[in-house]
Amino acid sequence: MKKLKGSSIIEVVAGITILAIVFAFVAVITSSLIKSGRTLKVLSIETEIDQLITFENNNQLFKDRTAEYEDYNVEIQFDRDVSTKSIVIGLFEASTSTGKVLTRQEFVFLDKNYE
Amino acid sequence: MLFKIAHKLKAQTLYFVIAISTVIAILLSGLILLSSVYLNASNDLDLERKLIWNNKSALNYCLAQEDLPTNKIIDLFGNESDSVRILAIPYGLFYNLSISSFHGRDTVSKTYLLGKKNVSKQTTALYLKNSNKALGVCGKTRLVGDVVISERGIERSYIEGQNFIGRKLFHGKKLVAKNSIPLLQNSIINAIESVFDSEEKFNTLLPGKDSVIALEDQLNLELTVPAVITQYIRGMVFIRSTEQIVLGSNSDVRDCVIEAPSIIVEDGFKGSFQGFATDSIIIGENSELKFPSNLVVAKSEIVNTLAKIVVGEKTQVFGNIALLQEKLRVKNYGIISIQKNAVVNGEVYSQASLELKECTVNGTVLTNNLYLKTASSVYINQLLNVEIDVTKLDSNHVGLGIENKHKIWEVLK
Repeated sequence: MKKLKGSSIIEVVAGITILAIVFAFVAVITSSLIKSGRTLKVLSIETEIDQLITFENNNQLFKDRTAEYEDYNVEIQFDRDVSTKSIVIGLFEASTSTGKVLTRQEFVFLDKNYE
Repeated sequence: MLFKIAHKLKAQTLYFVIAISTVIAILLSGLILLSSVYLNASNDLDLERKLIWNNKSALNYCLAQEDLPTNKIIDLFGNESDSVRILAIPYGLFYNLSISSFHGRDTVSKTYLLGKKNVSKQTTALYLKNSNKALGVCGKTRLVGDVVISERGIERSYIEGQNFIGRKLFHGKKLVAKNSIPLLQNSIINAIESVFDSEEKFNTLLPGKDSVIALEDQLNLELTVPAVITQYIRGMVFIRSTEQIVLGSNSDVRDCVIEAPSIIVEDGFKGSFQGFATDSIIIGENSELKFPSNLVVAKSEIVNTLAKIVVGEKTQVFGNIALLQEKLRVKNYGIISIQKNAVVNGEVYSQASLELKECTVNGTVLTNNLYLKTASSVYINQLLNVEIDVTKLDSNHVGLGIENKHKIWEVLK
């Protein structure tokens, strides 16, 4: 084997460094894009859940059901409080078709029609 | 060998590589930082949203309770991540409810003004103590709602040259009254007592200040000399005075509680307050007391004066008026006087006398004695050109809770 000159070592180090940087760059950008995409999606789902809670608060239906969207579902479940009957606890859980939970929100409703 | 070295590189190349690497590293760090900031912001937004919903949940929890928790921390859903602190303190006839939902160091706080309203609609327009005298109505008097009066009933009368105009003497049911008007609920009596007997620490209200604002915590201020209030006052401000207080027409007062021997409101005043006096409350002409306002004169036995509440001409009151005088007094018998063209939207409750002068009450009137003084004479149990209509009472009105025992909390602000 020939002995490498000092300049060759520099070239190798520089090459590896540039490759590493490029890989890291691609990885970070991809990760950021995935995270941003996911966060944006979760944010939009949370907006839907907020609207569902507001709707439920105004209409006082309190019936378990599923709200279906294009690529996820929101399971809505209600549970009446044992000690204070006019309190209904609502659970809103958004999940993908594969069952992966994206976000969930619980809320205490006041049943205005309960006597 | 990965690379075939064709020629010698200059040492300058190393600097070149390092410079490029540094630029790329800075860009990369920037991206990582951006990603981290974005993620943190997203988490913060998520947390803020959760805390806001928890705050609203806690409000619903409180509205469902018979009595508000005075100072309590609760875990809303039992998973130790949705804690809220609830603090309720009496504020005049209402309650200040402070709710803080928190997670670690992050907190969302909100203060609400709550009162108790009747579940079922009020039906009584007039409750007049049974003094074995008929109620006389004349002029354009209109009674809409049930009338609770003596067995002698209701009859047309003739005062000041005016006969009763109208087909029906009243629109509702006629019921027989007891020997005194119903007592206020204990919770209301206790609230009134607590205003007069408050042992909170009071600071001096500085006359030089042009505004006093307390949106989160109650601010207790004291006056020891007669004063004319001209300031901008907002929120939970409790002003106590040992001397007379005058609310200037140029003052801008909202939601505060005033306790003084005598409260005078100048003509043209617009604002809302709960006034508690031992002597008198005089509201000037063309004023507007916005909802939620309350005017209460009580404990006049202590100062032995003529307890008096006067609502001036063309003044509108959106709230309740109450004069408490439990002991029957021959001298200094208290009176509520509502002047010509004044409109009261709420309950008028007098354990002494009540004078209604060609005015309107959209709500309920309860009194032990109806008094009417004209240029020529004084009449008892007579109504001249008075309209009392309980159907016009707002369904969300928070009253004195006399008629219905079943009451629920109502968010006023």
